[in-house]
Amino acid sequence: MRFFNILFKRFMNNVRTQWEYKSNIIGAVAVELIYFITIIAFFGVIFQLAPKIAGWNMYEFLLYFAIASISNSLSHFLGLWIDWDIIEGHLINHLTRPISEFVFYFELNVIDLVFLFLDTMLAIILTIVFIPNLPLLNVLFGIFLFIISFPLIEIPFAIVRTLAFWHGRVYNLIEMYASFLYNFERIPVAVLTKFFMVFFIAITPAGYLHWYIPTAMILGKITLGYGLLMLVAIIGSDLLLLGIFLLVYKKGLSKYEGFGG
Amino acid sequence: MYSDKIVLTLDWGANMTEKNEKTVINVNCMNKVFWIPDEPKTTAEKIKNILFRKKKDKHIIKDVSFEIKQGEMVGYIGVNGAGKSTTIKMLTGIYPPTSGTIKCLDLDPFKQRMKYVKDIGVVFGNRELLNYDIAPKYSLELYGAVYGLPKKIAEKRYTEFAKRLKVSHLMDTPVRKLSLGEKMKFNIIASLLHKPKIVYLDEPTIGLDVVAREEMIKFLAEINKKEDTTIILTTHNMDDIEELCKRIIIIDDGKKIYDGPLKAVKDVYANWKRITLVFSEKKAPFMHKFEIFEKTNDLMIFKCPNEKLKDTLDKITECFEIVDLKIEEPKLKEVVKRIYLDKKVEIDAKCN
Amino acid sequence: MLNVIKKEWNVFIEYTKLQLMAYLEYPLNFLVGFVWTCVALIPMYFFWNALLTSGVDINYNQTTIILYYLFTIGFFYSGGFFKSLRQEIIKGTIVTTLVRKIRLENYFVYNAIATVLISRFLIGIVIVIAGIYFVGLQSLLGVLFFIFGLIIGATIYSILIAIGFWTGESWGYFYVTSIIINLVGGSIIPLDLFPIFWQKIIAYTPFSLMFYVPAKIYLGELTITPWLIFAYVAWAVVLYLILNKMISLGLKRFEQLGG
Repeated sequence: MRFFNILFKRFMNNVRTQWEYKSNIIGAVAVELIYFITIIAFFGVIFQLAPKIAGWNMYEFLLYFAIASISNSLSHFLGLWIDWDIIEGHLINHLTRPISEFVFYFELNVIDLVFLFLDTMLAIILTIVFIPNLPLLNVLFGIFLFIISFPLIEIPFAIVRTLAFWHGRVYNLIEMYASFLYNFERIPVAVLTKFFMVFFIAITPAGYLHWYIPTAMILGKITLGYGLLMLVAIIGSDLLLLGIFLLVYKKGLSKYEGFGG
Repeated sequence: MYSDKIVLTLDWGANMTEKNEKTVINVNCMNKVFWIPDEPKTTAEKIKNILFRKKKDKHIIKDVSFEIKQGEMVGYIGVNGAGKSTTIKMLTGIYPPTSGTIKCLDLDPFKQRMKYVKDIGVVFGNRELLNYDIAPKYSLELYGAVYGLPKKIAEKRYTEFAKRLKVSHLMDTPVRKLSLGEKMKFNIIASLLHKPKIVYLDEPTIGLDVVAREEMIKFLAEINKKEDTTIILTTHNMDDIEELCKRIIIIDDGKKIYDGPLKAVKDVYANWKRITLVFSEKKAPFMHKFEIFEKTNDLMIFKCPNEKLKDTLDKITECFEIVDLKIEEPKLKEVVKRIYLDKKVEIDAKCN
Repeated sequence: MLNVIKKEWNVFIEYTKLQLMAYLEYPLNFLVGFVWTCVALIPMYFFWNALLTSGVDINYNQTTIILYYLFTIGFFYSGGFFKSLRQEIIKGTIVTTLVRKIRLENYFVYNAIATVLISRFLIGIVIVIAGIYFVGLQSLLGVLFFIFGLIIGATIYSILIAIGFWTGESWGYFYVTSIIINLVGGSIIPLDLFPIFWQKIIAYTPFSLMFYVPAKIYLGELTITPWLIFAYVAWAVVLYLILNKMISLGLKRFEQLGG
């Protein structure tokens, strides 16, 4: 309880911080809306040439994009900025507090909540207006798969950030890892051939299990049976990644030698 | 003046406190070795260095031992790079020692960190505890919650401390608008909210003006008296701790070279002043046996023992047409150098 | 005049060297852009492959569309690249540049160009080799015009950075403009696939000169005419004059705020 109480207080402090720079909240809304417009323009131009690509129409591609964006905004909001705290020396302060240092790692930036709200609105508008009559069971199961597979996007980034214990600034490693994931934000990994699909899924399971599978389930493009099989794969992957992260983190913390004295 | 033989033993500190108390910090033969990047020399090393950095060991803390009793106020002094901050980080459980043992409040700070840190407060001088963009009271509320204090009690404590440190009027001012001294006062408040048994202050006076420093030191002395809080204060400026700490531990190049009363250090190794004299004319010969640091046609910098200070100043006014005169305490570096030069100083270290 | 050009060229080289030294501190920096481009091309290839095999009639085939994206993704830059320059105004560290003998507008433009050139160097080699192999030696002109377009792009982003004298910590305008530039610059989708109405509007802006036009030259699909060269020179001069004016107004405001 104390852990969540502190998280809430940190979040409220962030709200107060962002309120000091109110124009950034307006800026965030503008950025997200302009970004939506560019993506809609991109698909608008492409789909004026062909009604479907790999069996998906424009609104289905946009729903996939909206779900990937929801995931990104949520993972930024709950992002574990381990490397930042290591490099900037904040970890030294965290370790002298009688609570897990993880309570200080979460970003909890209210701007990401603004993005999350807009992404969710996009997804809702698409499903209600442009892709109506989706079976409720598929939608609910798809949302469930999305929630339960959330660690697949969060934990790999946390693992890469933990490498800061050894390598200091790991921003480049994060970018390289992100390149394997974010290039599938607009284009589902399912357009690839089997070889490349397996390659990318092995490196970034989130692209397939957290973005593609829930979207395909909502849209009825995969069967419930396949969805259940993927649920097992998701749970297994979650546990495996969590285990890897805890091992790497514990090792890193034991080797922590601080930065900047 | 360097003729007294001083034998430093591990339990010197026990004679120094007036209060009786149990040992709260026990450090025995503590060592710390870090790795630092090494410059690759050959081409093969340079290529390998892209992915696997070449490293070498740096022995930061060497066989340091001491005990501190409850309620003591100890100055932990050393020049930059001596190993002060590293010691504090080991005492606060951030790093384990490479070898040796540390026991604080009967706990291993590193292995039993969570149990240990609820009874300590820490301020690292060059690190901010407060959220930069918002008022300090919100950060203090957060720290109250971190230490499990009921909201009303935390509020009562930080309000009272702010009043004593004369920063109550700044409670609602964003931290980014505060001066360094004001920020440091709030950092100290944050570290004392939960009535810690030990407080570690790592260079807390860095960058503070004289007034802010004095207010802070006075406050710490009050806390020590009222709440029997053990205070460990690191600094590279001996003046900082003169009013607060009767006992000092001097560390140099990772080794403890002195552990005892500050007065003894000042009496034996810092019992002189540096006099800088700028003159326009020499009226009479200035006979002396002082050590000269620098001498030109119109400048003389020399060392004057404290017991001869009055007579020397009288003689200077007789012998010179003074343009400027400066009298300074010896620098810590010079004190440390004197301690080393006194070959009769022995450190009774029981580590092998 | 020649001495001025020589002096400015030397200053630019010095800034490029500094950026290179900073980059070499973290050698992985070079790999990042390279890996990002290679990885980004794979889904793009399969996506466009799926589109092209569905029988659409556009001016691209599988090879040319991938070369187009190799060029635009490989040489891609946006607002995020110049965050540190923007921070100099916000944090006030710009004062250390103001006391040196360099015009602030040149400082921003040179640093912006150097940042992109160094970070894109490795992938640039791949782009050149692929261009020569699939298109021919004339693809090298595309790379040259990318550098001309980079001068324009660096000036545009320097103008956006200079707006920081008024907006302070606000970053919304910076990234909104950056996203729009990417779209109308042709780095997200080739401009000749846009409806004709939008193509005509974009043609009046300098953005297409940053990515789309150099990419088309690289593919050997655009002839270099005197008008094209004039467009590059004219936009570079106009944008530089705008930047110059903004810096002088911005510095006055900077003084008023006490620096």
